Amino acid sequence: KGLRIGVIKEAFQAKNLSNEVASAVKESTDAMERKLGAEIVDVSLTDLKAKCAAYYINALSEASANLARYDGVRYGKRGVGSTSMKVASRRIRSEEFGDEVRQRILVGTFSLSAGYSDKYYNKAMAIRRNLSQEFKKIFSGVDVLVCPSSPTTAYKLGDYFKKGVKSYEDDLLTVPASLAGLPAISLPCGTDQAGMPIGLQIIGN
Amino acid sequence: IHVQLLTNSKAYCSCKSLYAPNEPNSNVCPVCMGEPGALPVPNRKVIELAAKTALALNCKISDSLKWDRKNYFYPDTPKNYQITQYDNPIGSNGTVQLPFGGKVGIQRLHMEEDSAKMNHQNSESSSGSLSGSLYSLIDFNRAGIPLAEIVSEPDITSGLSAAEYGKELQRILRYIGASDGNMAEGSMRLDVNVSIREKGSNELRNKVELKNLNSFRAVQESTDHEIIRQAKLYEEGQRVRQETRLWDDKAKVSKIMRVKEGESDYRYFPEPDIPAMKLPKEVVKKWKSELSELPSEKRSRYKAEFGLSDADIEILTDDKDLSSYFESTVEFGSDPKEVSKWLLGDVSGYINSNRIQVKDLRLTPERLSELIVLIKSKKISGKIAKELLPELLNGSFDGTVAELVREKGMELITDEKVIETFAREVIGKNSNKVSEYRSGKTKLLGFFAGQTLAVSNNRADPE
Repeated sequence: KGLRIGVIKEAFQAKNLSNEVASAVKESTDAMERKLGAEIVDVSLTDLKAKCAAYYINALSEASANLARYDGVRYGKRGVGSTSMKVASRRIRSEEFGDEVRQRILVGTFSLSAGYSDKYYNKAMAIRRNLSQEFKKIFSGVDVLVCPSSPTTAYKLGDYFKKGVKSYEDDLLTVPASLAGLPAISLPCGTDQAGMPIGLQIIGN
Repeated sequence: IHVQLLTNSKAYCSCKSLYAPNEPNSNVCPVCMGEPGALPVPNRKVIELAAKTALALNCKISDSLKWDRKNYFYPDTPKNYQITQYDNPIGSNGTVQLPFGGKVGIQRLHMEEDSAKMNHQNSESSSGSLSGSLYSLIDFNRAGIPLAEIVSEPDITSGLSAAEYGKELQRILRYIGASDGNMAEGSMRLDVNVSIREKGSNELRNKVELKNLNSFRAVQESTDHEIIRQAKLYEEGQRVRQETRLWDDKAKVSKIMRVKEGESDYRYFPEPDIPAMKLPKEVVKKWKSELSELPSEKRSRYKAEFGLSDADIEILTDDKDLSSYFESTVEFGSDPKEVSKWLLGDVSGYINSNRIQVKDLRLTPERLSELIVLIKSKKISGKIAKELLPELLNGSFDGTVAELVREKGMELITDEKVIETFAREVIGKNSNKVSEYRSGKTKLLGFFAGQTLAVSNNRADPE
């Protein structure tokens, strides 16, 4: 009661947002206002797509370095015929890392490399810094933020990989809190016609 | 220059930071072994010692601390990146005053972690080098040991000044207790970058990096050798390739190690596991106040206060323990010039031949001062002092010097009447020499003086 809840309006403008998700979340915020006495305010979190791209560049860059330690030297399978670190590393990293992981390592390494780091990694970090400032301003007027956790309900098995890199775009609602280091939680707020659960996200300060 | 900082634990974990060459892989943990999920924690003492070193080098200290990742794959680098400082080094823009004149600028000083130590086995040349070796052993004790990297400005113009710069840096590090600065043990490593250009030219040419310099002499010789090697190439109309060369101290030549095809791409980015933090000015101020007097300050002070020669000052101030001993002795009231004479002479001789350190001396500054004061007040002579010294040095006598003199009956005889009796005795025994003297051999006076002294068991005042 009396809690100021900011609803991120750009979340409802997202191209890939399903109608059922939108209405389920709207119902919840209405209930919070009418039945629970909260104050609902519209807030603006700009350019969610760019923030999502920034997240992926940032996370994958870090991952490319975090995963570098898996070289077969101190632990892990070396593989038959590994006579040098070069051979052992190439083998273990090609054979033991899955496709998605190798893709991420390659993209991350590329984003950091000379001639590209300004355009990708540094740009992503600039977006991340601006986001922190943006959140600071937003939270001066509200106590929490609310929006759908995901533009769709859960994928069917195998569908994620069919979408390829495009599936990264579906993270655009959960990514801002990660980038800014804010606490966030996802709660069920109903199901769609197929019976799949719909998620409501609450972001704290 | 890379120096290992004297902390108890490593840079990012609590493993002991120890030189233990005979027990490989005994001071390791998941963090310094780069195991999955291990996270670094910055060591406060590392920051303190790095800052103190930077302050001693007159650097500007950054008001924030930021670490970066330097990414490259190599077996001696457990995480396949090194946590270092790239664009925000803790110290920058410093200077070092060289003892015999001249200054060297310090471009930067930053903190980083040491790599593991590799031992290449079964190489044909048995030189322990990588090329030709069959396999390599890795000791991770050294991985994660905190380092300070110090980069000088291109102010050095000869092998001699390069060596002097290295020595002064070592002196400073030992004075402030930041590092052992021991080249043989690897706690201090010097690499020299050399390029030459014609007089009057401002063009910066390719530089060659010299490695494997294990002594200051090697630093000097390799630098001079490289200057000549490059000059010869230019004179022959050839170009100098940007490369790394290994110094061979036996053959006194350098050999190419690897050609640097452009700069490596280390993909530097801020270390995400260590958030940047502020370094408060009050903390830096406190550390600065904890710095002891630096070698250059001591040298100036000794010159102004004690008027000692440059050569003596250089030796006295080279070792902090020796200079402390000197200062303590002077404080007990003896003449600094005399103290210097005795310390650099007989006492140093004793220290060296017994292979001990200044701090192991049984002769205390108080006793040495007493000895010198007794000479000045003519209670004993210099000759007598020299006779007493061994016993004082090995600490076999417990009491004061005056007590020792009394016990041995070594008081100086200054009573002219007593000395006259000795002299008469000598003259009596050497009548032939007396006639020689009378007939003109005045140099024999020395003979008579010496004989008198001998008769008195060296207790007579020579004057």
